[in-house]
Amino acid sequence: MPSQLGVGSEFVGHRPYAPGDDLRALDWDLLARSSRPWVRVARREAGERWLVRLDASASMGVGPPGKLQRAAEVAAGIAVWGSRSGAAVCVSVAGGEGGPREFRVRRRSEIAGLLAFLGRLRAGGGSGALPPARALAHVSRVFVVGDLRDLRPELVLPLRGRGRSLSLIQILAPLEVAPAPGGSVEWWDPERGGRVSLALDPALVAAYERELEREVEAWREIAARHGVPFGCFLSDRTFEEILERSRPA
Amino acid sequence: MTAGLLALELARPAALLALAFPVAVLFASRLLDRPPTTATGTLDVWERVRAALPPTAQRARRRIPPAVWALALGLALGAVALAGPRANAAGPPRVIRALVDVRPSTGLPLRDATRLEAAKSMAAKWLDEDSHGALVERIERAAPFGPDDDRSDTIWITDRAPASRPKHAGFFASGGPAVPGPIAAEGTARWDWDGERIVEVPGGAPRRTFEVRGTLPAPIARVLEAWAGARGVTARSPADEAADLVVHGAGMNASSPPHAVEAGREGWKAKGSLLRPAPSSDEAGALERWLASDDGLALVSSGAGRVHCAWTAMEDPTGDPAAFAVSWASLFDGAIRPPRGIVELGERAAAGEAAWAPPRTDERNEAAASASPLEAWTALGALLCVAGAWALARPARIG
Repeated sequence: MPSQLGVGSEFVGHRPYAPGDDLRALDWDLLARSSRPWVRVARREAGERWLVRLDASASMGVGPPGKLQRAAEVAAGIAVWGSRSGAAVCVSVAGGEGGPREFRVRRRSEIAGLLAFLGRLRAGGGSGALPPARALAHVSRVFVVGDLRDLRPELVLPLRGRGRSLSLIQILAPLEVAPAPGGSVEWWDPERGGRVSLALDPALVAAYERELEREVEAWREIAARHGVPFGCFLSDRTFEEILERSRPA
Repeated sequence: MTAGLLALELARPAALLALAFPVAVLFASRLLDRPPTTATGTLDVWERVRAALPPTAQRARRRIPPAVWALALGLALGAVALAGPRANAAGPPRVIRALVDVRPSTGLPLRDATRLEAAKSMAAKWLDEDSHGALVERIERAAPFGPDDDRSDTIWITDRAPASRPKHAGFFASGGPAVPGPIAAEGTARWDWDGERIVEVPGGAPRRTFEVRGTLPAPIARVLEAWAGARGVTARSPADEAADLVVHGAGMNASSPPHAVEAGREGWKAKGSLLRPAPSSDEAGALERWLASDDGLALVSSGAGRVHCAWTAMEDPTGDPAAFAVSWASLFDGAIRPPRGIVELGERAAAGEAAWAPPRTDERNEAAASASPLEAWTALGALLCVAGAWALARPARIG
């Protein structure tokens, strides 16, 4: 999939190289001057429409660091990349206080407005339904950014279609991935309101980690089978790290 | 173990109320030790993991921290230490020695009984209320009671309160007003005290009798007869009550051969023989040895109202004949019961007010109890537990 992107007949600019990019698009002259790899962006990419589905449901408030904070930063980074490439980026917020909303970035000058929009987000409610098919018309790239806890692969993968790529960026809090053993805790699901009291002995924590790892691996396998980039990141990573490893081609 | 626990007693049982503190600490710790609530987006994963657990392990175990356990244990030990645990001094059933004063004054009338009966009633009431279950060893003695009788396990039952309260022994004195009446008798005359004056009553002396059981050697029989005549004591007739003096002679039909002896006292000496030594006690009680042979055999013993003479034969004593008579007469004077109804003037005097005091706790036992290591060890254990709680709580604060 990445090999189909980033190439075209009319040159409009450069963007940083990402693993998987077609080496034919690499600008060797610029590499020699800047000692960093850049790829040439064609007119076809510049006219694309991107959709970033940002999960702001209540579970995204889990932290620290807050998952929504990191996810919003990643969404903003994607929007910056898109605007650099000349793509129109729509950041659609699922869930969150105040219900579903979206913000469109057509020019780089609108990034500041996007940051302000994202800064007002508060986690809350459920993540709601996925974008309907009509909302995906003319969209060439779809990014799903969130904890993916209330989504199933068979519901998400259809977002990928003819001429439309899909990237999945899962963000989990450290305490969700590696809870510290010892003591007791009452786990609380802020979306469903359920509670479970458990003594976190090492054996139980290990069993939990195995179960979660099995889930993540299932996502990874299904995504790979469908050629969908998938990355699972901790919210204590910087958004630059996350973008570097899941940067769109 | 059980016996050991039962042998403990508490000096301050009310202090056990302080056991409520450790209970409150544990209860509060249980209440405050609720697991922290933490939001997660992976509750469904936890639920699946929990579902795979055995039912008993599905709930969080709310453990009371070791520091709280140590603190509660320290408080509990402190409460026990405050209660003053010590070995039960009582242990086996308590035995109380009751010295019953048998002086004539205790037999004087008081209200519708005697002084002694009234004092006994007071003692019985105390025994019933404060020393229930104690065993009472009754010892009849004539007051005054001496220092050897001043023991914490002893009570004095008498009519006249002691001039100074005994240090350890208890006493029950009936008290009582003066009782006018006969105060002396000599020959056939009697002297009465009417409360103010002493009045002679000629021919009013109560008649006293003696009785000889067995056979007495001739020298002794002669002295007894002379002494009785001088004192107005007559031989008991079958119509009389019990004799005031019974003189037991030696039996003559013993199978063993008599033992030659020689004995004497107070200026006389005599040879003779005996079959068996004089007894040291009879059915009426202990007897005091009055005369022993040169080789240590008891020849004569006496008690109130009785004389036992083991001589089976006696030669005429050597030495001053008067000394022999005076010596035996003093024996009979001391042994014969006093004339009935005759009570000395001093005895008839008022005995004062009724008074009583329980025995005091044995200071030695009390000192031993106060110095009992059990209380000190318990207190030390409490301190160590509290220090341990402090040490355990320091790395991670309690609560």
